[in-house]
Amino acid sequence: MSTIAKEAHTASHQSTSGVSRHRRDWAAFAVIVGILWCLPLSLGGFYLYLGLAVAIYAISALGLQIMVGLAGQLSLGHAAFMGIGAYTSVLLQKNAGVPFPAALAAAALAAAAAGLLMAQLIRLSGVYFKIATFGFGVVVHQILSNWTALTGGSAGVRAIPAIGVLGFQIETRTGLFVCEALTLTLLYALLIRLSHGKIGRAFRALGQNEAAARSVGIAVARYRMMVITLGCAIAGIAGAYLPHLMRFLSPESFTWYESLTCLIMITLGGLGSLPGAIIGAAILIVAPEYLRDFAQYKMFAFGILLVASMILLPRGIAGAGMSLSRGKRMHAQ
Amino acid sequence: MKSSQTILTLRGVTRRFGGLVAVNKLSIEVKEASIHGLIGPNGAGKSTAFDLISGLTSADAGEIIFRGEIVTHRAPESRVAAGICRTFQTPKLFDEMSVLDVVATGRHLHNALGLWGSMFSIARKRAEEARTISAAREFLTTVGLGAKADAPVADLSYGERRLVEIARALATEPKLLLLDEVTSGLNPVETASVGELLRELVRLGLTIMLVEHDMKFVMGLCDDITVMNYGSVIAQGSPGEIVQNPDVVAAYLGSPRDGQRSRRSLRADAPACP
Repeated sequence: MSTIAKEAHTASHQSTSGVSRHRRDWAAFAVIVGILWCLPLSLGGFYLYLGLAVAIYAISALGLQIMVGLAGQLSLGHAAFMGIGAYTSVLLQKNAGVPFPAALAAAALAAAAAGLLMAQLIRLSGVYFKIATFGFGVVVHQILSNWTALTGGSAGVRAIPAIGVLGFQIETRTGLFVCEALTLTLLYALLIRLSHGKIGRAFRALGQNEAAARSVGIAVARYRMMVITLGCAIAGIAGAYLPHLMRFLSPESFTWYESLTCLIMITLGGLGSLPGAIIGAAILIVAPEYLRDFAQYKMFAFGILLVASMILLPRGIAGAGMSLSRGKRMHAQ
Repeated sequence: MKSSQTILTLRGVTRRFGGLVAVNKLSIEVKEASIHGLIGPNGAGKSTAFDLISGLTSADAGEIIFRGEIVTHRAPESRVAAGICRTFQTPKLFDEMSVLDVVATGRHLHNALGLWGSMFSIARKRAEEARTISAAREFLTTVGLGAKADAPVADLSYGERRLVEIARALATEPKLLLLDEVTSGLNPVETASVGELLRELVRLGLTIMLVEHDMKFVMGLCDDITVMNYGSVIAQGSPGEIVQNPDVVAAYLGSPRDGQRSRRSLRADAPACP
């Protein structure tokens, strides 16, 4: 009798804390989305520009986070998929007069197709796959730089057409920011939903122990394809916005350097954490803008930042925040 | 009350690794709702046999029939769907998850929502998650770890890790559960309670195969035993028959000529056998 009562008690206690995991993720969502929408729009000017850049890389980092942080499929060529998205959307807009929303969808599809192709071509496991993703990124960059007839080569593409949505021409930075922030908000919400269910658990299982994942019936090959395709599609969406911020498109925005920067974003923010990816993107975009005098040391500083964060905050900023709040709660009890 | 129907049949199953024949023409019949022990000295091929049955490795020859279907070359996930689930010699959990989430992964094949459904269908997703979590809690309670649901896996003791792994396997709702050295690393109290749990599960209709080194545990629990040595079967039968089988005695105790070999006991009162 007493054991039953005890179990009923613990069960009710647990179900409340089970809900709190969801609540925690959505609370982080509320805070981050709140800052995203308020700060750049109210401060305007240069901060709006910063907000635009942060939003683009935050989207890209979210894609990389589900691939690398959640499902453990390390990619060293993430920027290449941003590039595929950027060129697909701009060339469709410019050469075929495709409206931006359709071009954005095409960018996601093209990047997803390229990601699927990469995952199929490189059916390697472990470190070989990682090295091959690096190679894939370099190949894509070379194609963008050298297929001059299509991409304009290293001279890049100028006169980026404005974004038109449902007949409205978006020509101001504010309008562009609203589009980007909407995209980021929507994607972030969808990925939180994804991470809570069957698929998200399967991705995490795949990332944490492949043999164990297989033993409970998770088709690891299929889920690996799925997460790589999804992550690359999201990179394509981020890429489609980039030329509209820069007003110019060049292959140099999609080098392995940029891929590495995306990896540092999610590592610094906290591997496996969606808010972490956004926080990491914000830090790595904003900090260099205030340290322009030291621009030539940028990658050096990023490297130091990465090493320092891995030593001091092995679970990134998000992980540190979480253990801090857990510590406080335990202290309060 | 035990039915004598065969749930799993291995017929001449062979697996080679280079020149080594890890499993040689293995033939086993496992009766439904029974506990079948697979024993033998180290390197006898027991774990490879489990890999072959669960699909982690594929047979070079022979046939594996589960509930009337040939599953010899099916992918592991399809065997889980058919009702075969296993645990590992060293528990393999998901170390960054909570205990409850680990067990919830066992519900994978019982959930229908795909990539789009997980993101877009709000009511169905909520219902599915609620079902998954309450089922996971139930299986966790079955193994006696209901109170640890929200603990991170990293905080568990070794024995608790084993129990969580069993709960995760049970969450797939298997017909046949393969337990690889389930008692190793457990203290006598934990071993006894695992034995109780297994008996209860078999009473509910589950079939269990054990790879085990604890002879007392095996002899006390199993209905049938298969003894392997160097990849081949050297004896099959009830625990009583196995203890008296001269080939088994020779394999464990060393043949009369082989006086140098350490004497390893097969008697039921021996604590454990290496």
